[in-house]
Amino acid sequence: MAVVDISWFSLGIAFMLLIIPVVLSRIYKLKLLRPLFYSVSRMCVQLVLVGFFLKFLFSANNLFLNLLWLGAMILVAVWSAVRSFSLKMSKVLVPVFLSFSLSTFGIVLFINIWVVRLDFVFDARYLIILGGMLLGNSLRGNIIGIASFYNSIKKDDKRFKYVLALGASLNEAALPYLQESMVLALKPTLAAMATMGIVALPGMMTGVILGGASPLVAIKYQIMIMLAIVVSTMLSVFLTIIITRKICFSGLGILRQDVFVGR
Amino acid sequence: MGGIYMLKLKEVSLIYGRKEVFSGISLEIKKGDKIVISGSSGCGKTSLFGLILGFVFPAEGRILFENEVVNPQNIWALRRKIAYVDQDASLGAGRVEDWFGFIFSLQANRKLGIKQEDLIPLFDYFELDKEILEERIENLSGGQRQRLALITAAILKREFFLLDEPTSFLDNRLKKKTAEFFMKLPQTLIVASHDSTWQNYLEKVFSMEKRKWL
Repeated sequence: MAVVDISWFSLGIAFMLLIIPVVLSRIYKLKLLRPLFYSVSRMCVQLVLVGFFLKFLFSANNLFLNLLWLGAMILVAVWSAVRSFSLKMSKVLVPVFLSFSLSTFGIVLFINIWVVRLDFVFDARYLIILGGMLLGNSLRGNIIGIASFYNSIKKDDKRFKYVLALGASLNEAALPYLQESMVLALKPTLAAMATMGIVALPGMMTGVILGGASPLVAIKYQIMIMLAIVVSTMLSVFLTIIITRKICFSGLGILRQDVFVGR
Repeated sequence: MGGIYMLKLKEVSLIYGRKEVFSGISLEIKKGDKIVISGSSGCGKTSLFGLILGFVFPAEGRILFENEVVNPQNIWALRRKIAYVDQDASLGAGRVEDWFGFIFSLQANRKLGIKQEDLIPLFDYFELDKEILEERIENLSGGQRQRLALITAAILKREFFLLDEPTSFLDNRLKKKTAEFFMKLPQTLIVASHDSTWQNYLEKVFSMEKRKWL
């Protein structure tokens, strides 16, 4: 069974669902109309563009183009991650890019070579789609983990210095914060994994089933992607902390004020 | 030879942002000296300790620790010769037992092979129940945390005690007991305190405000 295509006209019918929020907002003055239409329009424009772009990318399926696009995706993810860390872009962009690239690219290649066993391991369909899923999750993990790492050290300034003064190395003094941040960063993924299939059918699995595959194929893909997500998130958070730490602490073991934004 | 000086500060001044914290501090401390740094709060006693511990660099002047200028390369080894008690006894959160476990597990302390039983005589002296090991630091009083910080400093057997207002949360009797405890030890001792208890026990008092020995 192949996927049932939706005509553009039929898709228009889906928009009729929006009558419900419109009516509700009118009656109860929910102040949701503007944000709703803003988000719906953005989603439509972005997805239509991506749709055409991916169609082109898939039909070309060119090694260089695929890698270039994955690189661009990584760059955007890194950009938004770093912005949320309140670290200076110029100081950490390259190291965080390295961390994301290694954890995304490495895991996707592993999957493509050893699990899916593709003939062309840089196949756009797999490289870009799997890469995107890993990146999205790494981004979320990093935003939580890195912010927690630096904010807790800043908040705990006195204890941090006290421990250094008692002869801890930078690694030793930072270890409790690293542990705490990794747990925080991984928590959403672990919780999602633990309830998967019971609370909700995950998006990718739904997609594969709607695409016409057997549910058994779908769960195999889902398990594979979750393993990839949890490992790449963990790896990227860990690498980002380890790499940025070299830049964010002075030789005296103190957070450098000049790498943080707005200080 | 001139190797007898543990610590020398030469015309040291410190600036935070644009504000001068202090200037022109010169201080020489010999091995085994026991001194008090006095001065009202805000005069820079804690900042002076920050300089000695290498958390900040002086704007002017030089700091020599065992005749070596303090720099990012040697500061890590120097800190391992110091037993520091910070002003607020910032032990963080978690169980007391885990605090000691963490400190004993640091590479600098591992070779000492300290065991939890070794803490008992110190707990007795500072009048803490050993059941406190099971408690959470966040539930302790300032005085309890302060005594735990003093015990931490004492058990590490370092060459040099650097105590910042170490008895501010303690009553007079415990203050005296604490001062007596550290007076008996052979190590070098610098106490920052505006408390007269320490000044009664220690012969040398350096005034931050007057920038000289009293």
